[in-house]
This record gives sequence, structure tokens and C-alpha cells, in this order.
Amino acid sequence: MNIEKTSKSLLKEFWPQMSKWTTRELIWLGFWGIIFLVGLYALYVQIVEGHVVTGMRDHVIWGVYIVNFIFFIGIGYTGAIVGGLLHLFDAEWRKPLMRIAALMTVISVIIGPLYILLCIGRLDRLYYLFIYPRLQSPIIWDVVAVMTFLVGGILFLYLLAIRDFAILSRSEETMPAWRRKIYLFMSAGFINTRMQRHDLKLALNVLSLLLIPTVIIVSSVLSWIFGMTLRPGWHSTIFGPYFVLAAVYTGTGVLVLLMYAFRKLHNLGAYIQERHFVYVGYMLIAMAAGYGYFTFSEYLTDWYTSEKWNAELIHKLMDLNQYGWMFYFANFAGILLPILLIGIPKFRSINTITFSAALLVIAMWFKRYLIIVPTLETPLLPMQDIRPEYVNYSATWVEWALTGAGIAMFMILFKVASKYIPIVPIWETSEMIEKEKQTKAATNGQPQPSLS
Amino acid sequence: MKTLATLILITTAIFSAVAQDPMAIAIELVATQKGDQGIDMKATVTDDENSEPVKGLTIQFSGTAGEQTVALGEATTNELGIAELKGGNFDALRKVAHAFTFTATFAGNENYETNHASVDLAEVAIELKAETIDSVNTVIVNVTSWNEKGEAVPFSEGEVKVYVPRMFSLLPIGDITTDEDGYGELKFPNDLPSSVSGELTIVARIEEHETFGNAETSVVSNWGVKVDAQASKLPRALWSPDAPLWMVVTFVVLMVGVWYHYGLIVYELIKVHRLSKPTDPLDFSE
Amino acid sequence: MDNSNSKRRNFIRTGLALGLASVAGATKLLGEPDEKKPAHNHTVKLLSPDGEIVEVDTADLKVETHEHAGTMARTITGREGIEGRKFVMVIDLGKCRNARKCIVACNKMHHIPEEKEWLQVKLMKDNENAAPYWFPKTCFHCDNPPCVKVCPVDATFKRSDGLVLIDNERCIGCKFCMAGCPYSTRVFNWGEPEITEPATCPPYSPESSTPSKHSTVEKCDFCPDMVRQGKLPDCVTACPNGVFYFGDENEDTVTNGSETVRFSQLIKDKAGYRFMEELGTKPRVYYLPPSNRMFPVERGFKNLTDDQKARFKDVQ
Repeated sequence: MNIEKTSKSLLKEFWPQMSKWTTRELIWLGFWGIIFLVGLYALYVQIVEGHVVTGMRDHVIWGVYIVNFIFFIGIGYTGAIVGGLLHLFDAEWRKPLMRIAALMTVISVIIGPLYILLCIGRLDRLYYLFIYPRLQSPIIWDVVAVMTFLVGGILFLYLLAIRDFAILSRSEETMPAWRRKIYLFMSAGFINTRMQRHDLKLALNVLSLLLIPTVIIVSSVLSWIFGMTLRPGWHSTIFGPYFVLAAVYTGTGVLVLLMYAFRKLHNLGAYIQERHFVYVGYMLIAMAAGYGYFTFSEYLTDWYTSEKWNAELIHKLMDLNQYGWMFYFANFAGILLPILLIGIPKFRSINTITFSAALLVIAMWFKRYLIIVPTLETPLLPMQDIRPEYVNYSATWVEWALTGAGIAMFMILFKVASKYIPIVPIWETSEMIEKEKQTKAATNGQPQPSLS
Repeated sequence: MKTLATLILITTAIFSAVAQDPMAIAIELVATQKGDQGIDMKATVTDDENSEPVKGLTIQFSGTAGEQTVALGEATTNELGIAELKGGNFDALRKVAHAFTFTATFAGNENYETNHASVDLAEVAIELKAETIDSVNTVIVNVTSWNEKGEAVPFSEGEVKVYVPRMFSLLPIGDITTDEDGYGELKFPNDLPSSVSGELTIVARIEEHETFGNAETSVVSNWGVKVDAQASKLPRALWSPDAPLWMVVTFVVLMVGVWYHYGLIVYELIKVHRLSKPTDPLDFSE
Repeated sequence: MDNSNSKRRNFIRTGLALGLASVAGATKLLGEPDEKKPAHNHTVKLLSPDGEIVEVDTADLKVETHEHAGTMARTITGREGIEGRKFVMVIDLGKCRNARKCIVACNKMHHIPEEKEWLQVKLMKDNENAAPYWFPKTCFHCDNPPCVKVCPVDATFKRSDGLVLIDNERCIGCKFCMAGCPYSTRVFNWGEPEITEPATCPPYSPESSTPSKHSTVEKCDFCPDMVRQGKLPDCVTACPNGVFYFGDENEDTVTNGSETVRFSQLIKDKAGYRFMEELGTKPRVYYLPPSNRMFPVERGFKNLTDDQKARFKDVQ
């Protein structure tokens, strides 16, 4: 095998993309930068005036912030669990996607918790969480879980990148000395000796194995913030697995969108191929089916028994004058349509898979909104309040601006990261290419994607 | 009502500044005789104009029997216009006679005119016993009054109310009507909770009698059903400061499990780092 | 109830002083300049350890604490329950006519503006054929409080005397307790809170629950600062119809100010129940069913503003 040569040529191909910013990229960065700054201003307003500037009030105490929190955290969990699973199954085709998955994990898990901070009225007392913690509170579980997971995610990203850092630090491309020094430092002295390979492999295996139960636990813990309350639509035993699946489903959708974007923007068609979309598409179908099943069983049981508040909530969700449109969009466009678009071979293509992914990502955001807001608008006792902002929630510009800021942060961080670390892992992709060359030679010209 | 009180204070102040004439006040007096425990007096002061309570007036309490008058004490009215004297000693009067006049006097100042109120009382003595008769807890009262000659005579057909004092008020237990010997009894419930000690205070009262006014006496019994002392230390529970043990154990096991493995991974990385000099060339041989 | 104002303030000041004293060894306090010492004849009512109410001169109190500082620090931080007590409330739905005096008194007592209601009177109608009735709702001070369970920083807590209180100096404003409470009892200061009559507001303690603090959660507290002085909560005394009975379950006694009855007897005779027992929260507030009504339900609409009337349009 000639990994050295392949990796050199790969780096040569990627280097122009990594070494300079094009005007288009700078405009893109500026655009999201402005949106981010608007969000910062909104944050300033919220801190100065208090939460009164949001649409949240005594009944609907949480709004789009917590929706965004669930949304981003869910995306973050996905990179780790999908990456970890594919690594453990040693699916050869995964290799070009691992970097995107790992980056997605770290970036989303950095952004997500910021939204829970926006829900906290007294940020000046935030450190009380560490000096007066009550282990009984799901918020403490969540704080610990997210922090633990973030460390795992960063380790995952790093372990997968060490070999690329080694390549970059010794590359023949011209780069500033400080950059080379950082790459050298980050490579942790890895020169690919047998022992080093063994140690790195061991570390990656342990981490991949560890991340799977960790994701399940931390994602369940997130759902238990809601599941532990006596509220219709929240107090549900399947909320743990329901949230795990929702997270992974959404995250895989975002993965597809990122694959599509980088494939187009960085000309990575040779590495992020149609088969990658198809395989991830298959995963989406499986997840959509599972998620649809959970959704159906959740609503069916509530509807069938029609306990007073559950019945009230279900009515609110299905009534076209209330949340009906959102409900049907979330559950049909978010679950049924992707299954059909990806499932029927005639429709299956990079474009339809990406379209399905976009659809489901948006639908899953609304799905989270449907979990949070209508439940809070259905208290057990009649509200008997005539202040409209107390009865029905509608997000204010501050909340939308900060939602935009989160998306902007995601975009900016991803763009910046792609300048310093190859979006397609060089070493692993070289391995894959070499391996497939061998297989090709062995089977005499039939390209055979390895799924093993 | 706080506004009201403040307003009154303000208006009072304005009045005192502008109008030189002191304002007339009304005093309402309630006295409760408690035998050897003295006399409780409660004076409520309102201004004549708007019948609002007046705060901060010093009321002198005194008692008269025959020719003798003694000062019992003084108290200042609060926001509700109430000045109270507890257990004023009137033994000196009891030696002189068995009928008294109790008076609450306000001496007057630059803002308020002087006024007084008095109550005429004849002495009455309630003897109160808590006895267990044939394993029935019984409250026994013996009420004595005095005739014009100063001889003790039983008070018959007297209405005596029995209470147990509670945190905020008196809990009524029952009423006793005395017989011709001044005696009467009442079966006391045996399921009444008490403090930790099992002690219950029993109060017998004659209320608003035309001759005797209010009279009261009390005795401590051990008839209370003991209440388990409330543990001020809360149990380990979801709703207390300390988490249930299983939760702590689960948390620690999970945390140790995950962070131990993180440590392991970092250890492997350190091993990788030690295996070479950073400047060594990459080794691509398999 | 108003005479308590200055006493109450003194009391709290003393309470805080006690707290400080026991921590700092009381030496500092005693060395304070004279004008800070309360004048004599300022007595406060305190509960002695055996539950008796005793009247103590504030000046004496400090000396006493100093002596006991090391051994029995009676700190009134608001987190310790009143010893030996287990407070309970009974609300007689048959007597309520939505006079709203309880709400007015409560708001006055806690210096909160009109639109914020810790105590609410709802108009309930259990089913289409049921007769509507007025339903005063305080905090239920549950024995299995879902709000306390979820608090991440021990800012809301359950005391040994049954009360569930909030330490607004601890609260981080995450509002999880509001999601946890199934009765929508808790309110949040979304902006800078309006404090009515700030001049007469006592210093903050979890027992006075006032003045309101921005971006924190608050709720009905059963007025523990009044209760500590042996006085009934304001809603109880303000009600013209004696709807609220309050007392100590350990004494099996409740009173509405004019009538004192045995708690168990009242619950037995009038079929007392707890609201939504099935939720398992074990409220400390009991209701007597709206039978033998003293007033027709329509009486409750008298004297209401149009806005207040509009609240109940879904029920009528």
C-alpha cells in the first residue's frame, strides 16, 4: 500500500482550500458574523432588561431557547454515536465522513448549552450550580452530562485527527511556522510506529464504545428535564429513548446537509460520494421508521385513554386552528416524506436525500417546539388570565435573534475549523482509497464499496 | 391596611402641626381577672373623629376597691390602638374588698385629650382541677363568689367555658354549668394531641358575665396525646437537601465509569507521545 | 394584622442579627453604636423551644444569643422549620364569594403589585353539569413537593414544619420549579419587580419573601414571619367569610380567626379532601366541598372590574 503517496496528493488537493480565504468565503463569514452580532445585541438587551423581553411568561416559562437547546445538543450527540458505531463496525466507507461527524459533535455541544444559559434568569449566580448542587435535580444531571459529553466529544475529534496533524506538520506545503508548530504539538509525537498504532487504536476503540452508552444516558437525561414533571405530554416513560432517537435522527439529517455543503463548496465529490449519501440515507430511513413508531405510540396512548389534560393537549395539537399545521408538517414532512423519498429507489439521489434531510431537520425543530410550548399552554388548572402574552407564547425578536446567532455560530465555527483541519480526514481516506484499490485489483475491476 | 396606618400617622402629624386643638379619643377596656395570677387588661384606643386606632399613647392601668386605689402598670398602644397589661398584681385590692373598679387612663398630651374607661367587677374564683375518675379524664370546676357581707358563697348556674390554648387561638372543649354548690365537671377528650411532653394546658373561663366580667384560670394536665418529635433533620429524599443513597451511588458509579475511561484514553495518548521524538519522520511502513 | 409592621421588621432584623451573631460570635454586634440598638420597650414575640409564645425585649434577646452563641445557635435563616409544628390549611369552598380580600391583603403584606397574584381565586366548573364554584388557591406546601425535587441549587426547600419556601438570594431563575409545580402556583419576576410601598418593606428573608428580587421565582409562603409571632397569615384574617382555616396539624387545631376547631373533626364532618390527590404531591392544604353554599356563585362577580370578569368568560 502506498498511503504516503496518496496522502500527499490528497493534502496537495485540499491545501489551497485550507490555506486561504476566498472572497466568497469572507462574504459568507461576514454575513453570519452580522447575524451573530445582532444576537449579541439581543443578549445584551435580555441581560439588561430581564426576561421580560422574551415571549416567555408564567405559564409558558420556556420557549424557543429550550427548543434550540434540545435541537443543538441532539445534533451534537449524533456525531459521536454515529461516528462511534461506524468506527466499531469498522465500516470502511465511513472514513471520509468521520471528520464532519466529530466536528459536528463538538461545535453543537458548545452551542447547545448556551441556550440553557439564556433560560436562566440570574446568570450572576450560575456558579451556585457548582457550590450548591442538588443531585436530585435533572438540571444537575444535565449539567454534568453535557460537560462530561463535551470532554468525550473533544477527545473523539482529537483522536481521529492526530494522524492528520502528523501529516500536516511534516507536509511540503508552505505554511507559517507557528501553524506548523501547532500541528506538530497536536500530533502528540505520533510517527506511526507499531506501538503507537496500537495505543491509538485502543484509545479510539475504548472511546467509541464509551460514547455510545454515554450518548444514550445524556440524551435521556435531557428528556427527563421534561419527563420528571407532572405535565401532559411530558410525563411519559418513553421520553428517554424518544429523545435519543430524535437526537440521532436530526443529527444524521444535519450530517447529510453538511456532507452536501462541503461536497459542493470544497469540491469533495471524489471523496464524499453518492454511496455515502445512500448509506446515510438508509440510516435515516431506519431512524425515521423508529421515530415514527415512537411518535405514533406516544400520541396513540394519550389519545386513546384521553385523560383530561392529555385529551386537551392532543386536541390542541391536531386542531388546524391551533397547532394542527405544525403538527402535520412535523410528523408527515419530518417522518413519512423522508421514508418515501429515500426509500423508493426511483427517487433516491443525492438531491432528494439532501432535500429530505433539510425537510426533516426543520420538521424536527418544530417537533421540539410542539413538545415544549403546547404542553406549557395546557396547565392542569385553568389559567383564567386575560393578558394575551401570559396565555399564548410567541417568541420575540430577541429570541429569534439569539436563535439566529446560534446558527451563525455553527456556520462560523464550522467554516473556521475547515481552514485548520481537513474536512475529509487525509490519513484515513488514503487508507480507504488504497484498500479499495487492492480490492479492485483482486476482483478485477469491479468497484466494491466495503460495508463490513 | 398598612397604608391606612401610615396615612393615619401622617394625618395625625399634620393635625398636630396645623390644628392646635387636641383630638378627643375613645377608650374601650376589657379586663379579665385571674385570681392569684393577677389581672389582664386590654385597652383599645380610637380617635373620636374617624374611629381609627391611635398608636403610641401611654395608658395607665389602675384598680380601686373601696377607698383604696393602686396603680397596676402602664402600656403603650400599638398600630391597632391596643395597649395590654398582663397579670397586673391586685392582691392589695383583694384584701380590702371583693368588688373592684379597673380603669384605663390616658393622661392627655398636646395631640390628644385625656380620657379614661373603667370596668366594674365582682371577684370570682374558679378552682380548676384535672382529675382522672374511673379512667375518664374529667375537668372539675368549683366557682366561688362573695356576697355583700364578704362571705364566700358558691356560684351556681354559672357558665364556664373550657379551652385548650393552641398556637393561634383557644380551642373550645366544652361548657360547664355549675350546680348549687358551685361545682361542675366535663369529660375531657382523650385523643387531643399535645406537645412532645404530653402536657396540655386547660383553661376555664367565665366570659362577659354581668357581675364578674371575664374571669380565667388554668391548669396543666398530662392528658395530651404525645406527638412524635418532628425530626428537624429531613430524611434523604427527592425533596430534601440530601439525595437518596441509590441515586448518589448510581451517580458516582456512572461518573467514575466514564471519567476512568477518559483517563485511560489520555494515558494511551501520553504513551503515544513518549514513543518518539516529535521531529522523527513519519513511518508509513505497515 | 397591621400592628405587626414595625414589630415584624424588628423581628426580622433580630432574626438576621441572631443569624449573624451566631456566626460571628456576636462580639461585633454588641460593639455596634448605640443608635443601632433598638429602643427599650420594643418587645417581640418569639417561640420558645417548647412552642410557647414569649414576649422578649429585643435588647435582651441579643445578650441572650451572645451567651448561647456557641451552644444553641437559634439562627432564623428561614431554612429551619418552626420546631414541633406542622402547618396545615383548610379552605371552605362553601363560604367563598370571591370577595378578593385575601388577595388584596396578601399583595399588601408581600409588597407585590395588583397584577401579580400569589393567591388566586379561580372559577371552577368540574364538568358540564356541575355547578361552578369559587376556588381560592394558595401554595399547597406539598409533603412530596415536585417543585423542591427539581430545584438544582436548593433554593426552594421543604422545612420540618411543612412549609415550602424560596430563598430568593439563592434562586438562579431557571424556572424548573415552575414547570414542576402542577398547580401553576409559582410566579417569576420577568423584569425588574415592582415593589409597592418599599418604605415599609422588611429586609429580605425567605420567611418574609419580600422585597421581590428580579429574575427569581416567588410564591405564597403561608407568612411564616407572622406565624412565628403566633399570628395568622394575612389571607386568613382578611377573609370576611372565614373561608381559610389555618393551624398546626400536630395540635389537631385550625382556626379562621373567629372559630377554632379540631382539624380532624372538620375534615371528617365536612368531607374534606385534597385537590388532585391522584398526583401524589400530598398537599398540606385541604378543601371542604362547595356544598351548603353561603352565597350564590353570582355574588362573586359583584365588584369585579371588567378585566377581572373577563377572566372567567370560559366558565360562564
